[in-house]
Amino acid sequence: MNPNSKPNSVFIGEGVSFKGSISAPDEAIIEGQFDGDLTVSNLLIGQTGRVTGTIKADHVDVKGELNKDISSRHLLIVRSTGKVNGTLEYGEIEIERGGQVRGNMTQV
Amino acid sequence: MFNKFKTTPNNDTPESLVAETPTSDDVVIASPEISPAAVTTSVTPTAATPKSNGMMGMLQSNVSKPSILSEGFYFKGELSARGAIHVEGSLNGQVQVDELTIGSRGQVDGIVNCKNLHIKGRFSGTATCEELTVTSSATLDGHVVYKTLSVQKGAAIKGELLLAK
Repeated sequence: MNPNSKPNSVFIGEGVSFKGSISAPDEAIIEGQFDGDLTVSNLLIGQTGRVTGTIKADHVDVKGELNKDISSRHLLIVRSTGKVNGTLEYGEIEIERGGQVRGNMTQV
Repeated sequence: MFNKFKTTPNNDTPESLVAETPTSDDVVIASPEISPAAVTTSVTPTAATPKSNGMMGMLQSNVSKPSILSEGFYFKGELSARGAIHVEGSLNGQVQVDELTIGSRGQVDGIVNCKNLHIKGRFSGTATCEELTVTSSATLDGHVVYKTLSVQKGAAIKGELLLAK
């Protein structure tokens, strides 16, 4: 097994475009493009990553772009390079200076 | 005062004091502004005036202080200011200001138009600002249009955040 790979996790590298739905019990790291439904525990969107669709996660860390319906049950972090558009549901939120957020927000 | 002591041993008689003082080097170096007629009396005032002018120059600075609406203060209406406003009380209505800080016990409800909006307390309504800072103790409910945004962990945001172009 590749030492870099983690069980119950998915990694979409830069330049990769994925359409469909993913359900991962652990972690999803997205450096490429993702379109569709995503259910995961930890979602990390890298600087080159773009995620569009219905996202359900516990923890979300956005350095790239995140669009449409987002539900982050615990903590949502938008880094200074991050962009979030759409409907947001969150437990806790943190936005670094420079981070862009556009949309409707509700705290659960 | 030292000048007086230096001159007196050299010139014992008062007649020679008046005649000698302008030419003696000691006096000229120590206090060039002293006129020969009033050697002893004019020493202290001439030495003091340039010092006090320097101090006054240091004190002249334009630091704008924020207007403060302290705790227990309730304001309803329209508020307009060019400087900064710090709210610890309650503010209800329309606000137009450069810098608005809502303190941890402050509460603002209404329409806010400002450059810098710093929220530590509660805000509800509509705000248009350039720089929005939401700290961990803040509660935000409403619509905010911003250019630069930072939100600390723990802040509660309900409503809409819009990025201005």
